[in-house]
Amino acid sequence: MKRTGGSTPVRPGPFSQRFGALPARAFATLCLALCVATGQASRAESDAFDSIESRVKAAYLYKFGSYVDWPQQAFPAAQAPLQIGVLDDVALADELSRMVQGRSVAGRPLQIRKLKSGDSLAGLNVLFVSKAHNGRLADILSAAKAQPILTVTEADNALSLGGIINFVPVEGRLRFEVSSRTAQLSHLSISARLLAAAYKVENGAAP
Amino acid sequence: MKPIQAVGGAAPSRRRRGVPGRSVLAAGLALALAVCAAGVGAQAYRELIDLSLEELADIRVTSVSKQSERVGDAPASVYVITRDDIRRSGAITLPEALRLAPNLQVARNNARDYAISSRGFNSVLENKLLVMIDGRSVYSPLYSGVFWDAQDVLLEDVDRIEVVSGAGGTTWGANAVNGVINVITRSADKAQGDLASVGGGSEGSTGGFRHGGQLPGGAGHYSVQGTHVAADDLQRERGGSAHDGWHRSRAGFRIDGGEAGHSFTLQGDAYTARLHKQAEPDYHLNGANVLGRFNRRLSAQSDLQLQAYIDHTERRQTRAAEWLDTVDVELQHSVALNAAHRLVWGGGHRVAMERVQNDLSFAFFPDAVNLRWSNVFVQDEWSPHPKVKITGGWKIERNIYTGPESLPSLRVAWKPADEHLWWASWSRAVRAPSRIDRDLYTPRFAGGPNFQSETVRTLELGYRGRPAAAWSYSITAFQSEYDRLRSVEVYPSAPLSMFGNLAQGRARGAEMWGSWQAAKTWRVSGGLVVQALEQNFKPGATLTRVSFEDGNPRHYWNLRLSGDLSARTEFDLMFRSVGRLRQPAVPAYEAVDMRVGWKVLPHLEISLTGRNLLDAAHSEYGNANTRSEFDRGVFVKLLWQP
Repeated sequence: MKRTGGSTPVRPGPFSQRFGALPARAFATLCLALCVATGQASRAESDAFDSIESRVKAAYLYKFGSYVDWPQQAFPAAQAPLQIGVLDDVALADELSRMVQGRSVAGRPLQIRKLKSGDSLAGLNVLFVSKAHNGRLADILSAAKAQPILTVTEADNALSLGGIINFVPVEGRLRFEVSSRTAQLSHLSISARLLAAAYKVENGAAP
Repeated sequence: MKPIQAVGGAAPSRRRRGVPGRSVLAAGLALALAVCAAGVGAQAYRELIDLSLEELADIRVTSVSKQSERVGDAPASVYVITRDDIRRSGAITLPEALRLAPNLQVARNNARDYAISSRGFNSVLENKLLVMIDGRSVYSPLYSGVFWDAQDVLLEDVDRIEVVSGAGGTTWGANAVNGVINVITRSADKAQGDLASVGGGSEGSTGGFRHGGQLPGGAGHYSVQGTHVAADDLQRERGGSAHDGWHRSRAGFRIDGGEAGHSFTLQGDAYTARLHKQAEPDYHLNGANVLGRFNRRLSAQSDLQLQAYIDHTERRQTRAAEWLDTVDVELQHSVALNAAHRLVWGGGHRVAMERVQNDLSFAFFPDAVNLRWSNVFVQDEWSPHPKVKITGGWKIERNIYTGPESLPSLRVAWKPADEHLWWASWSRAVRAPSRIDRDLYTPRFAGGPNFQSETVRTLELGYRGRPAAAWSYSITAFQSEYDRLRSVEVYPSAPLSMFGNLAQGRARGAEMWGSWQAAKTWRVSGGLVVQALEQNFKPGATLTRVSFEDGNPRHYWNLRLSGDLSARTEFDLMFRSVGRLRQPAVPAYEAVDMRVGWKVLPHLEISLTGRNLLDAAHSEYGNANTRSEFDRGVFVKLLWQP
């Protein structure tokens, strides 16, 4: 109601005229062309996001080690490496190996083991079970049960099957849930810091 | 960089426009080029391993379009502004963050007033867009618009903003005529830990904090937040201070608890603000609200949601004041009847007690009134075929002025393949009368005692696709027929002119936007709206020069480049172009904002945002004598998240 009177509005020119204002269009074209020119288009692979997920998981697997205390008998020697086993996810294992080069956890070097189904779990401190094995997760977890192995999974019902840490997708992000009860049964002590960062902590009884 | 029309146009500027813009643009392009080159280098590989657990938990592992798939499947024109987008835009207020939505026209009048709309009808008294913050309507029943100067959230804790253009009456009720903005904050379990931010620059200054923790006994999570924003007085385009600065403080909390199938939310906030005004004492705004929401899974097929809120807001200006208390209750039940049908039904009731302190020159009668709205709705989602979904819905909403209003819609979605969605819709919505339409009195002008609801019938056709993993886009064509639009009528027998319903209109146009993931951490996105609005008058109309169509550009578009220079440095370049407005006449303008954020320490980010880099200053909306102009400026912000 404030727009009273005024001169008869003049119709603007056709859309194309205005849109064609050269500097604006040149700017747009340049912006788009920039990344193409530097050869990035070829990197826009369909698995761009899969690989981000894989890298985030790898980073988590490394970080978890800093927030868990293993019993002494889990390591053959004081300087023995922390062994992380990756079951049937070669990409993740490679990623993790690359990431942890020259790094250590609590003074221990890291050793990444690529595992196939049926391989022995002896000597492992962390075991990641990829979702390829979700169908037989119960068997795998029961093999690790009551040993000081931090099991990390990516299945809906993993904690109820006896997993300790389970990745959960939450609104496009990767979070994790923890069963502190199962950890206890495996003689692992999980720091409050890790529990605080968890999406969910289950204290209930595990099978 | 100024368009040809503006340089040679009718609005000569005090400053030399255009020339400095080019050099800044050249610098921006050079920087963008350097950025892309760096992106392919060694730093392209993010040092994820150095991030904290919380930071890892915050990395998006699915693409934006995948993440918003639930919204993405909706047969409507929806754009989702993500939390990342907001942070990377450097926005310090909600209206500025809304500039990210390609389907919104955001035009700033001065330091605090905005004209925000979709699909036309834009003005600072815009009345066809419904705005909700966490399910609480912030649409004022005084004039059917939004007082943008009173709306605040901690932007760091906004999960997303869903911007739906088009009529949404069946879902959102009356007044969702041209669109709905849903601001959705993060649930407390996602807003954990501490956060503090402080910023300052040519726009003003901001500060914010959040603390999140767990409730004892694992009952849930809580967060408390506070914000303070101060905006400096701007200069008028014609010179001199506009005396339009303001500052606002807000404190809020949110509690989320329970478990899946049995969860609750309790949240609230309180705010106070002061607005500068030329030759008058400061205006005072105060408000507080509390909202509770309860979700319960009754069975595997059936979910119940109950929500209630109370809201108090007051606005004390020198010669007028408004106090508004609102109570709102809503219930919604959804049930899967069988494999093919899903039924959602519910209802709601809202009471608003409004009191106005009148002035001789500007009054509402009665000065105090109890406004009431009640609604019932039912909606059926029918999948006659796995690739087809037909959604029919009908809401009846009753208001005290016009009684029951019918708000039906029909939407059809066809998904020939996972990455392609075609949809079409027909819907009817109304803008129910607000106080200003019926109860306003000034010495020469009054609300219309018989003012009826404005109506719209909208037809839309849309396509959303993701032809390759790196590409996604959306196109919507719309046509809306408006009837009984507000007009001003002069009656020879009466000393007053009054509001009537003798205008009609038609809007036609297209909205499109897309995004290209050019590289792992680099994204180019953009959007364009083209629209044509026409208005005509019914027989008997007396003042046929008042027009709603003039405050709208024929087109506006934006382009954004977003990426990471290294694991610790992010870069954003945002360009927008808005066509000219005819009445109030505003020249077309282009603007470029640029932001660089550095993670100087694992928990500390410093960002530098440059605004309006193309020209010394530009205007966006309002009368040329009184509107403010927006200068080139910089803003520095520190964000600490231990």
